[in-house]
Amino acid sequence: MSGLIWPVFLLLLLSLQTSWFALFPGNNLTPDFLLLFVVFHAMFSGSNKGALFGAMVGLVQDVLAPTTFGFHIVTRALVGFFIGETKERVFKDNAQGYFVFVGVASLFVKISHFILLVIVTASVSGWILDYFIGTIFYLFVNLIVSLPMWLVLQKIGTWLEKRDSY
Amino acid sequence: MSKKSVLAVIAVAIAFLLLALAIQGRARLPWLDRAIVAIAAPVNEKLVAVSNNADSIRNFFAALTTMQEENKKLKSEVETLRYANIQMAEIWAENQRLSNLLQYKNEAKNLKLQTAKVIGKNIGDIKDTVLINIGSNAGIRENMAVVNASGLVGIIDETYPDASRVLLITSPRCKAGGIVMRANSRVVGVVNGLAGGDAVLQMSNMARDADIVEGDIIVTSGFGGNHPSGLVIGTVSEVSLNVGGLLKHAKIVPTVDFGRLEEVMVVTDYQNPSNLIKSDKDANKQQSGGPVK
Repeated sequence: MSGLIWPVFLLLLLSLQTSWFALFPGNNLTPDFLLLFVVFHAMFSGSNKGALFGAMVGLVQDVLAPTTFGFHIVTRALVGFFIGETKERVFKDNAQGYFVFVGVASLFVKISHFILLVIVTASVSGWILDYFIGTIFYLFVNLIVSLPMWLVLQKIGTWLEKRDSY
Repeated sequence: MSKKSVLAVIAVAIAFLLLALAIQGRARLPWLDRAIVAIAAPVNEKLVAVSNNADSIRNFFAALTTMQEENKKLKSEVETLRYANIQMAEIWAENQRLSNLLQYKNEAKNLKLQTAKVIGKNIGDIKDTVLINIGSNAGIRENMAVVNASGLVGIIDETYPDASRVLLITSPRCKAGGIVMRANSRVVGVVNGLAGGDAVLQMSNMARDADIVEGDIIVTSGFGGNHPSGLVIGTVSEVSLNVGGLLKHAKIVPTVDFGRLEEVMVVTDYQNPSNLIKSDKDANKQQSGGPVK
């Protein structure tokens, strides 16, 4: 039963992310809840599991938004892998580490997306400035949301640990 | 009789005399009256002032308590009104949007439209799809055009029983036939998104001498037969030649505000204006008794 908590939470985050515009109308800023979730999971489960989990989350996104199928799978798997690599090296029980990882992962995703767009459109004129501004807002919103997200995920993680230790 | 007793009797007699005179109104000792008032009035005034001040302080504290209660009440009222105001603003905005859609629906007589609500956005990094709340159960099929009061939003990319995914015109994957609306131009090209954002579209595949200039309005051509003609796409913001210099392409600013999409309409059936002209002719012939082909 406890194994269902993370998938259910993932679906909840997906719904939250896609309906965020209706909850906060008038702006176009949506936090990337799924990326934040991948970062958290990778921090605690290591590179292999982190990559697998990232790929699964990416698959969900690619199935729903298949314009460039595979982009989310690859980027989220890479985020999961590299953040998972730091499992033994970084003290994970504080929010600062998560905060930094969220910033790095957000930048990585945006840079990957930028490279993809340059390849697809073969040009940067007309959209690069908007993209740059959008990246700053994306980073900003993700960093802001990362703190409450950390608290919620920590609570769930601690609860599951206690539950499993009995 | 001692001297003191005599003086006392005299004093009492004078006092009675004065009293009797005062009672009869003959002597009121105005000088004494004035002297006493002159001395007592300022003191009295001060005392009254002090008393008044005390009253004010008492009133002040009483008022403070009342004011605190009133303040609480008013604060709660303000909160209620603020909430009501937000609700009203929300309803007003929705009303405006729906009025625009209705107006568009009434004006676009050649289009059969079905209204839908956007229920999902920002699914991935490439924000070029949205989910709407009607699907195959409501007769929605792939490739149907999706519009709002401002113009073309996109096309139906995938249908589910009770939802559909709309591929926005801003997607590099979405391509639609476009035509310059200006009567003496009518240049045709292919319109597609550039980067998945809502900033710019591109119209390509135009001859190098094509008559297209900044400010031209681009509408759907309808030549492919998949979408109706005449749906507004956007306005030309820049025209240039491609790298080889053989073809012209134009950047188009879309008329739709993709950041604020909340309601859209799916074109479930349509008649192009040329067909309308034909059907008018047919109707006229029928009226005059001629054959209808």
